[in-house]
Order: sequence, then structure tokens, then C-alpha cells
Amino acid sequence: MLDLTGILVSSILMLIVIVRAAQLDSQIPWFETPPDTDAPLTGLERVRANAASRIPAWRKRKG
Amino acid sequence: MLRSILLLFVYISFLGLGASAPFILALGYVWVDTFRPQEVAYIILNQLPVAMIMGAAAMGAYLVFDRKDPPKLTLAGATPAILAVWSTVAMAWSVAGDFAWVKWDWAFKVLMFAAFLPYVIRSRVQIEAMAQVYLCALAGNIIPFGVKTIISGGGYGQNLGLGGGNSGLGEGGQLSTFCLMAVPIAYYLSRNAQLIPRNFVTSMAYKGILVLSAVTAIGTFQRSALVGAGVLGIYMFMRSRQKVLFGSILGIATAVLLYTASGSYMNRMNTIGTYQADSSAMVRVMVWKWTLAYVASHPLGGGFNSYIINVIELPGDGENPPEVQHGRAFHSSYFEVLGELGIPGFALFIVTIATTILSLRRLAKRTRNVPHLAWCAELSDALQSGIMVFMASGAFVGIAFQPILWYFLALTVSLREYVRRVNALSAKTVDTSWRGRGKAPSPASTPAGALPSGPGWRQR
Repeated sequence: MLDLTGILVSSILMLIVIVRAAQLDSQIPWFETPPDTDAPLTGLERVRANAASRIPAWRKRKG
Repeated sequence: MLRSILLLFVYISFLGLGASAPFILALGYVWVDTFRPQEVAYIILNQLPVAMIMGAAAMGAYLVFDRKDPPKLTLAGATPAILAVWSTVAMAWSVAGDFAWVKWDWAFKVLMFAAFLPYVIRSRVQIEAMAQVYLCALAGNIIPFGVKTIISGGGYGQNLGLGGGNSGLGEGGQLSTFCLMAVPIAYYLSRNAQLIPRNFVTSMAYKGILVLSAVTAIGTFQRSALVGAGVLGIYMFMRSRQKVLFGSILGIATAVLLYTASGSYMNRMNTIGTYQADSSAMVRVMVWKWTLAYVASHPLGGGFNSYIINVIELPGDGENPPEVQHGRAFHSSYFEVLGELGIPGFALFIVTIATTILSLRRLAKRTRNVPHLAWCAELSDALQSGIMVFMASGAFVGIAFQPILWYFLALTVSLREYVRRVNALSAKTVDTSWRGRGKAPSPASTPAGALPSGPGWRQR
């Protein structure tokens, strides 16, 4: 019974951890592509990011 | 049956979540390697090559989806791979035949995976997730073992955990060392965890695991655990910023241990001072002497499991006649590496540990006063304490190629690379104008106000 309790508690804790980690990691994927609203971008990167965000969705799909 | 289904669910969860976030597969391998579900489950998992599937998936997912910003190549990062190559070369003059290949098979994978981990574990989320998974993997054993120790008092050679036999976490020396190495990690997570909401319940859960880890280590009745616990206490006290509080807790814990310890525990610990009268301790000393003599004549070592050829002559005393024993294990991580991989392997091993400790100390010093990197200082303190435990306890247990030490080294590389990447980004942010070029301040020494305020952008 104690063995099962140990496995159960540690497994639940670990599942919470990996689900949350996967969620957070997909929100903030990589160092190279930080979200422009939060990340400390350089001036040039900010200009490029803003320009990219103004491209309409249909144009992005097309090209 | 229920445990097998639960473990299968956890295993499948790692694979499923790994499809959306490839680093989860690497964490799955850490879990499989530490917890060994194939040895605990009764159905399905015990019939599958679970480690091979998870390891192949982790590496494949990295190569296909996740090749981003690799870590800078340094000595500490490369040594596991160099040691893996050297251990393979040493198989050319192995003295243990097929028995050597048995160990090479898992030790090579451990070293190569340790070299691989910093490529997938890069961000704070990933670093913390790895620490959490390691702790949870151990907690599966620690919780039943610790509670049973509290109830029964523990005992030497008593397997109160999940694993059967006398290997892996079923072996007292290994289990106690791993538990003590988990103590500073649990303490770190109780203060800095972000993946699990920080509240009273979760804080107590981490502290509960911390206490059960210590109880498990003591409950194995291993003398190496007492040495490791002493080193851990001293090192954590030295690194603590609240020395009075920490010293008081340490004093109370020692008093409780002395008050509640059984007579059999005290008798066993007393043999540390009278090792000549203890056959187990005496065998170790004799094996170490044999190893030194062997390496003097074979400087390149004898390959994995070379202890199999040793012949130990135990001196007799008044009650027991002299005795000859064959193939006694090294019972020390240092002598294990020396006897198996010779002087080059031993030098590499020592250099790896020394550079890791130095790297962690430098990291702690550079980040302690930087608010958004303060967690790095705390984690580097925890990793230092864990490695110190390994260096002390590992002197009496042959666990040099067990994954735990190498995971700590991999986490060190990941942490150092994280700080380097954040510093590189911060340096750009602080001053990127033409006036500021060439005089950007060192990011680690940058005042907090110069960086984005509130929780860091990587920490949300």
C-alpha cells in the first residue's frame, strides 16, 4: 500500500510538472524567437517584429 | 497491477507530450533511467525496451524538430562524451571479457546522454522541469522507504523501497547517496519552483520529500550515508545566508537522530573508527590497495568490471583464519574509474568534477546579486552541495557511472549556458546605440533596473 502511495504521489506530481512545462514551453518557445511584447529586443529586431505583425494574414498564407 | 497501469500511463504521457515539446522526451529518459519503471511494473513495461524507445525518441525529436542554439563547447560539456569514447577504447584491453561489455552497454549510454542533455535543456522552464522530474523519480522510492523507516527504524541490507535485489535503487549505498543528493534539490525547489503553484501545501510537499530523503539515507544504515550527510550539512551551512537559522535546524536534526537512533545503528556507525575489525571495511581497503598496484603495472586500466580478476587475502585474527576472496567490487567511485579506465580516465573524471564545481561557484558569485538571475545562484548552490555529497559518499560506493552524477553535470552546463544566453540578450538591451558600442557593461553585473522589471520574460 505504501509502495503504491509513493508511486501515485510522485507520478501525479510529475505529470503536473511535465504538463505545465510543456504548456509554458509552447508559450515561450525558444531563445531565438521570444515574444516581442515581453522579450528584451533590440531596436532593429523590434522594428522587424512590428513590421511582420502588420502583414495581413491572407498575405502571410499566400507567400 | 494498479501500479503497472499507472506507470504505463506516465510513460505514455511522456511520449504524448513529447510530440508537442521535444524536451519532454529527454525528461522521460531521465525518469526511466532514475526510477526504472521496467523493474517496478508487472506487465507491459517490464517487457519493453522502455529506455531505448524513450532515448531514441528524445534524440530523434531533437534532430528533427529542436536543433536550436546549441551550447558553447567547453571542457565540462565535452568530458562526458570524451570519457565515453575513452571507455570504448579501453575495451580493447579489457580483462573482464563479456562481463565488461555488460557495463559498457549502460555506462556508454549514460555518458552520451549526459553530453546530449544540455542541447535540449536550455530555458528556465526546462531546467526546472528536469530537476523536478529527477526529484519525483526518486520520490517514488523515497516515500515508501522513508515512511517504512520511520515506522520500523530501518536496517542494514533491508530493502524497504520499490526495487528488488541488490542493484540500482535496491542497493543501500546507491540509494542513500542519491537521496542525499536530492536534499538540496528539494530545498531549492521548495523556494523557487514555478511549474507547480507555490503555496503552503506544495511547500510542505517539497519539505516532506526533503525530510523523507534524509530519513531514507539514514535508514539504509550505510556508513557512507553518514559521511555524506555530514558533508552535506557542512556545505549547505557554508553556502547558507541564514546561518543561525540553518545551524539551529541542523542541530535539532542531529539531536533527533541521536535520540531516536537504535542501538544497532549506533553500533554500525561506530565501525567507521574500527575498520580493521570490520571485514566489510577491511575488504575495501584491500581492494583499493590491489587497484593501486594494478594501475601501477597497467596505467591504462583494465576496462569495465576489471575488479573481477582481483584476489584479496584477508589477514586472520584470533577468531578467524586468513581468507582469500576473489572478484570483490571496487566499493569506491574513484577506485572504480582508476581501475577501469586507468590514469587517463581518472584524470578526466577528476577534471570534470573539479571544473564543474569551479564553474558552479563562479556562476553563483556572478548571479547572486542579480534579481532576475538569483534563482541560478540558488540552483548552483544546490548542485554544488549534491556533487559534494557524491564526492564524499561516492568514495565508499562504486557509482561513478550511475546517471545521477552525470545529470548534475549536465544541469550545470545547461544552467551556465542559460546565464550566458540571458546575458547576451541583456547586453543587447542595455545599450545598443552607436554611443554604447564597445562599452556595454557585463550583463551579470548590470543593475536590475536596467533590465525589464517584474518577472523575467522567460520566467512567466
